[in-house]
Amino acid sequence: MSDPTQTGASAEAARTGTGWSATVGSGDPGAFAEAARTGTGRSIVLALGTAPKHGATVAALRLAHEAVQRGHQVAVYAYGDGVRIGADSCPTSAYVREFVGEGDDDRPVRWIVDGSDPRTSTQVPGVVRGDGSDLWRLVREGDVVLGVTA
Amino acid sequence: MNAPRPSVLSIVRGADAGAAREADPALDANAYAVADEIDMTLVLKDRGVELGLDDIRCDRGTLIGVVIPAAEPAIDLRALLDSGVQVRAVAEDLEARGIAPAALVAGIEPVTEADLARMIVEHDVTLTTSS
Repeated sequence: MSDPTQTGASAEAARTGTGWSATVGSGDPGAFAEAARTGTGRSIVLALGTAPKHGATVAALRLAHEAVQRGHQVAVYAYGDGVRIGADSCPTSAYVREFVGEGDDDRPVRWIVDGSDPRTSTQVPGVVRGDGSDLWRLVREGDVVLGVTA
Repeated sequence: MNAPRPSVLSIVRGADAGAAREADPALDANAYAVADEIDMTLVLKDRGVELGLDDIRCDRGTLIGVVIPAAEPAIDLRALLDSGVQVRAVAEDLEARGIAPAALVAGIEPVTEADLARMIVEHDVTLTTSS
């Protein structure tokens, strides 16, 4: 079965400069990657900076869902307009709520928002307020890193 | 044994240098890389090259007595450069916007699209962000 993180879609988007960008994990065996290895699948990091209704956001959410269905672990770092995706009053927060539950450790999706953004104060339960250091920790630990931009 | 430091190519593609916010969210996130165990090269691409302009001034001003925030990306970029991060700007994107390399913050070096392609291959991880 093909691996969604290894198709040519992200590479093609990186070349064309739309939607998805780039890529290959460093292989640094951090806690996130180790958890993924001892479970099933790979660890996928999404740096999500697009607004809730942007097409790239929808694609990212669908990819996260598909990746989880195939046994992979997903960690999202939302920043900029991306912090609104998990905001309690935003329609997309229903997806985030389903992904992260109450933030239980056994959930395959972790969702971290840039806590310096004032719009993070209304996030659904389970979303973790973090900062840029979380992004780079995830980049070190992830097998695959994808940037989602407008 | 310490894990090797991954080399990260961070491409900032978007820019809204005049946005009413305290900091550019993409540059702010990149600033945290300085404290992490990675070797980062930052590339300003597409509209992102506008963040590299040395002489952007936004008056904070007030509206109904409330201060309007104003990000100053040049300050963030100088801090990254001072921390040893290499900052590059894509020459074709500068030219398309009529921006001369001399107008950039000192220390930002132009690179061509061909250079960027090579850099993507050479780095362990390439991450694109946008603000």
